[in-house]
Amino acid sequence: MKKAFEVAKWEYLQKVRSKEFIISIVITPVIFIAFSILPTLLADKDSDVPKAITILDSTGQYEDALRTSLEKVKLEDGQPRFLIPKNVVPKDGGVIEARKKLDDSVFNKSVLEAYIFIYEKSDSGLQLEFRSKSMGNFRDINIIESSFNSIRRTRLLENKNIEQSLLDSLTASVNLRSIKITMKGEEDINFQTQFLSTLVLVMALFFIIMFTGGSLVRSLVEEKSNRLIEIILSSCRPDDLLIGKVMGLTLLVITQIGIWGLMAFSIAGPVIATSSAVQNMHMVLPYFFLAFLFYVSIFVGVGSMVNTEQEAQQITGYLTMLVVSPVVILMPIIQNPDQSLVKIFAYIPFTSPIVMIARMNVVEVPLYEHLIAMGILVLSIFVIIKISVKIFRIGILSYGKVPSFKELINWIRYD
Amino acid sequence: MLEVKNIRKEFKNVVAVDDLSFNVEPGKIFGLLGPNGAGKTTTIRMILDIIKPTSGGIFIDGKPAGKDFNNITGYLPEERGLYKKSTILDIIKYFAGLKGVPASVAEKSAIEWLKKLDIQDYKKRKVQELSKGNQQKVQFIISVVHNPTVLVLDEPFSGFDPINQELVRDEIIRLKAEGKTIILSTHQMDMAEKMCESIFLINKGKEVCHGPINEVKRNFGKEFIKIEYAGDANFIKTLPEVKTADIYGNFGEIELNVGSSAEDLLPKIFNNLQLRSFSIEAPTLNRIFIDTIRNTGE
Repeated sequence: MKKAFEVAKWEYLQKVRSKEFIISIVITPVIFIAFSILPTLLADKDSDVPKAITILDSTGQYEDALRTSLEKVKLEDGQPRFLIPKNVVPKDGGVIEARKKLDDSVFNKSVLEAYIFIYEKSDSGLQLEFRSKSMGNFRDINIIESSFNSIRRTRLLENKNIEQSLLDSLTASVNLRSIKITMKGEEDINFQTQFLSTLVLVMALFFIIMFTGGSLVRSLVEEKSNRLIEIILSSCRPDDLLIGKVMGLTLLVITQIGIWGLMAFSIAGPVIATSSAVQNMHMVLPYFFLAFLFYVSIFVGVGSMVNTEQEAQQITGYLTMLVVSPVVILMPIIQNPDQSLVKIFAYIPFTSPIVMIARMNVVEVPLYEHLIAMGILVLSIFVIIKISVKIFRIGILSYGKVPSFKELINWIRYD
Repeated sequence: MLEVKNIRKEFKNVVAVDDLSFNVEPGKIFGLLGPNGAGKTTTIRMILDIIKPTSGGIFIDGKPAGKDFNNITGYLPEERGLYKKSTILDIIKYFAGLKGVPASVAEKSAIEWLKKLDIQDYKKRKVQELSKGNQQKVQFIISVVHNPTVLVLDEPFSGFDPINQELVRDEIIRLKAEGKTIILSTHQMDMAEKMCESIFLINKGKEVCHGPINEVKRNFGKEFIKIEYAGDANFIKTLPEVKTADIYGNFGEIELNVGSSAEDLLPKIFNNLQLRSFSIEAPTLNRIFIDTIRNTGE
């Protein structure tokens, strides 16, 4: 065991001083801000210039009311959201001709970016179209849709001679707020921040495993190809080497998380301190480390079989895909954290850490479920390490082609 | 004394090493010789506990080599390499640490060795900044820095220029004088001949011959005539007294037929060549190696 510490010390000190590590400390947060937060921010970002649109109303009943209503909508800086010039709709030649001309004009973007087309269909009634070159900002569409419907509703009700106050309360809409009930009381849920904070945690886990797993496999390949492995194995047992490497890397990751934590708190302390991801940290961290140990143990076993940098990259690629696969089910988990299928994934060691981290961000997961999930993880880590050690002992001294599955089984059986 | 007793190693129905036994005495250099693929590396790996023998075992001073045996062995593998991005002193200290040497002791010993091999100025440099020869020196230091009792050197001279070969050779001789048990594995037969007290020749995993070097030579029997000359010596091959002749251009090795003597041969050569030397010699290790391996191979 003393020698395992010796290996751990070496692995840690060599890696923590390496350029790759220092770069990863800085680059990784930048990358996952870029990949996870930016697109959401951009999608969420409202347009900031007025949009020139017009209205083609073949019914002739809604144009003026809709224009008045839409012209009242302002952008954040006080400018009108929509500019709706009058008299741009060609009056001669009928609706079909007018639509054609407007389509052309929108397509060539001479003045108009889009127009609203209102018409009646004989079989399905009143139709509302937002015709533009691109798909259209979903906020614009929401605003237009609700303005139009509110006008139409008000008109229908007015025709029935309903009292104004009743009319107002009928047309006023009530927003739905989600409240999460927790042990400490209640809190507002914003789906986007929930999803985001979970995604950030998951991405952090993914990057850490990818980085350390990759560097682990590379260092094994280096030791194998320069035959240092023979000197090492003439000095200590393969088990000591494997355990030492895993310990060294774990320490490295603790350092990494520590630095990121400090960075995050010094930049955005008050904001993240209140997020549920941080409040759950005492439960998130154990999963983090169990996931890390689980995957790194797999990396060690698998990594000992390869001989070249290319093979290493390939195998790291496959393993990384395995790590990242649960992200695919992240959305349904957050939307439906207590579904039975999700619970099954929560107990499968490959997906369990990410599923659990995601679930506990949105619901209060009962303690017994944590215990079962962690129990399964710990148990599978032991099994994986046992198998990995067996593969490692033989693989680390084998050169030539990567073993077939059958050979691998023989390695595992060999004692 | 290091005793290797009946070691055997099988890999998937292939017998790599078959029932080898030999003893290596302290203060002696023991040559482990054999052609490529003979099973030398497998034998070395078993001695150093890198792999376990299928049967048989390694004993040190009469006791089975146990857990701490690792700490008293030093190994210089044939294929060299180091962590490219680490510094020399760090690497040496790491490997000393793996042998159970405390950091402070390791550092002192490392610096002594760096001085002995004349590379003390490079101790803070990274491996990739060193010349190949100097990297080899670092590897050599790694095998000896922890003052091992048993030292296994696989092709210790390959990659060194003649000056550094001499430097390393002197250090090996000094270690021998200190009473270390040294196993030398090499293809350089002249080096083995000059340095080893006894040899062990293996081929295809089996022992071919072994013993003190003089004994091996005596048992091999055949004496050779060595000549140095100027002129065309190819006619020697056709002489009736000659069994085989290796003619190199200005140097030749001649083996005589049974019943012929050097006295019969000398005048015939003397008259046809400008002879510079003519001597009767015991067979070189190189000759023994080639002949024996050929015979066992057939």
